[in-house]
Amino acid sequence: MRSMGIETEKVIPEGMPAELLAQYNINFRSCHKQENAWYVENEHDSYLIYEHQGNTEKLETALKWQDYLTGRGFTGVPKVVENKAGQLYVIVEGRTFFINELPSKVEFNGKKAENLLLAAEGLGRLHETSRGFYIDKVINNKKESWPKIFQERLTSLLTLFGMLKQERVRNDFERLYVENFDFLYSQGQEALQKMVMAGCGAGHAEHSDRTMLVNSFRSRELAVCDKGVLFLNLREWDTGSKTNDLALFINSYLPLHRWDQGLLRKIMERYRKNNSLNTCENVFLIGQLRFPSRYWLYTYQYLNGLNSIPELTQQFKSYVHDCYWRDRCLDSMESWL
Amino acid sequence: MRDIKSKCELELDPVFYPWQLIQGEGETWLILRQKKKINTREIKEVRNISLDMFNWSVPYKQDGRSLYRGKIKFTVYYMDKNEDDFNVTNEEAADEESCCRQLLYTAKAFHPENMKKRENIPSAFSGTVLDEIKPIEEQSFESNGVAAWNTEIPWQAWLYGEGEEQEPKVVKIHVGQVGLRTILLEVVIRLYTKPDLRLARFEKTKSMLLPKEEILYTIKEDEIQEVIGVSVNRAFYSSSVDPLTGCLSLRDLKKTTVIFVSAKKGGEKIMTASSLSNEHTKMAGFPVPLFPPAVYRCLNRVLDILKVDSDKVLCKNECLWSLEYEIEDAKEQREEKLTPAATAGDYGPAQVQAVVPLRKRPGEKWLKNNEKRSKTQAKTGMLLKIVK
Repeated sequence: MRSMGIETEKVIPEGMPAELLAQYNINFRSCHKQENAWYVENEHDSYLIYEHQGNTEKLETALKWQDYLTGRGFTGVPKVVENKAGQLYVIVEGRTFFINELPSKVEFNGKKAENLLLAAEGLGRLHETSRGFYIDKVINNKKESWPKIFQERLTSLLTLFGMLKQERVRNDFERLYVENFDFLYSQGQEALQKMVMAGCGAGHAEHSDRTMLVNSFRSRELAVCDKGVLFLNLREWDTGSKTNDLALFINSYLPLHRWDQGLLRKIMERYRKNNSLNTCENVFLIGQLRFPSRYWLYTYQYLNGLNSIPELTQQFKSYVHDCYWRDRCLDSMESWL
Repeated sequence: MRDIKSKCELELDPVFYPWQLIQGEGETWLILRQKKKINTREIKEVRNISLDMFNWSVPYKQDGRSLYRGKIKFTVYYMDKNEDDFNVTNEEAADEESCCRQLLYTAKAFHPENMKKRENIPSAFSGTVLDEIKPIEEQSFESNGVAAWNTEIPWQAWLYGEGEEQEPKVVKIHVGQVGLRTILLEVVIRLYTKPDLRLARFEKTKSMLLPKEEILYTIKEDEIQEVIGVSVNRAFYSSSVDPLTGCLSLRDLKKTTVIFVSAKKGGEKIMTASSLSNEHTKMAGFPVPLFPPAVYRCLNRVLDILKVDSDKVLCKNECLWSLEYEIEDAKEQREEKLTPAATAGDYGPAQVQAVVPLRKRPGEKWLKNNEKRSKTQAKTGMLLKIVK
């Protein structure tokens, strides 16, 4: 934890409550708004003042976790700035704010292999450092196991397929859906098979080694600094097997590299530099990687009219190609993992 | 002859694979459909199609029906995408994966009843509809790295009806892409007879040419690009004597099917729409014997088809009814045993006559309204009117 001894500037940035800065000792030279945050700079440091929307209990845990990590010398997350009263976040005019101190950074570029390797290494260290962090209360109390969720989602996909087989398809999205169903559904079944093999149904890999998970790897939530990759957003945290995070990270960025087998291998090596995976976790990871999650996502968006059909069709088309590259890459991964 | 205009709503038929049969009176439409997933990542474009073989034979022919059997062979030429063509990567994969992670836990399971209305959107995949296939110089394709898919489709269909049988014809071909690597081929084959009223069976029996009729068909849920044909099929015949006029009254179930090329872009283009209706025909002037006909025959002839709107088709057709009171073979066997008095009279020489549509008799409306009057009284009344 770090308390700021900086004088307060009188000019209030637009949209920021005047009382907020009074609770912190922050002096700034420039300020600009970024979505739900203000980027603030003074002569020596940079800060991000966030306005948090949603559950404050979950935020509190995230900030405590962030504080726990920085307290143990982990440089992959920004430092939380305490207010004058030593609180990690404040509520002003019914709005919740917190401040992160930012080192000088550059944007994370998922197309650069080196950025991915740094992130994998950082993630391994983050999981390892988080081992001692226990949350008092699990807010997001999920009882469902991944295989059960995957099974339910596959059933939904099968239901729609059965319906489309009986009726005339009406657009290219449905055409692609029907055309690629067999392949993608079999990928889903294989994923389930792997998870069962990993024994996660009986609570093995998934529950035996629960850890804090970042659970979100959007490129704007990552940054590169001189000490490695910064995980800027821990507020989406979850608990579970570390393979959940690893699978999400790989599924997020390997499509940009056409599921390059060499790169995947390096990512795994860099992760294992600071953390290790047992056989069960390896099998569980492959299962998670194989599941056609975005096939389900696009279908969900289509069924609920959440996205335009031409756009969804284009995304789906790209995903089908991803899946073919992924299938090839994962087949090879099974041999060396 | 007087034109009778009527309207009829047709419902789109489901699409069937690998064949769909539309059997009518004197013609059969056979739609062959094939979908082929090519062993490639993505087809760039379907270039052309060649008809390599079309043959048939008639292994069975009896009682006014013929079984046609044959094979048709095509080669579809297409181009694959190269590895370099796959330069599209989804930059938003990370956002989508993170979003998906949340939704996988929280989203409700899919139920078809909760689904939003499915939209019809023109396809981005290409397709071509052809009337005939011109010969292709294969060499020009080989040099350009074009791949080929060969397909041979066996077919078989009954053709019902009297008349001079014509050679089966391939009347329409549709080839298109219906997915990243799926080719769709649709072929329409027409088997038909040339209606000939002078044919023996119609000449020897009681026949009646009904007035030409014009029917306006409206097709739901699709748009017509081109009408290929109209097929009419009747079944479940029954007859009675109309108590009022004393003429023969025929009832049957009539199925009308319009075969057309859909204007919708993408997927199957050869579509059919049908309607099933009860038909009631009064054969005025037709001699009515004391027992019902043994065989009913109907020859429907489509005279003209006109697309009048994207969902409307005007069809002009005429219908020739033929009734047999005794089956020919049975009649011959029994001829020696029957007395001349029993066969004369009822079975006269062949008559093919055009009749005017049934019109109301003088005073009929007045008679109908007066429910208290008995049939005998009605007849007396009409007689009096005619005398006047």
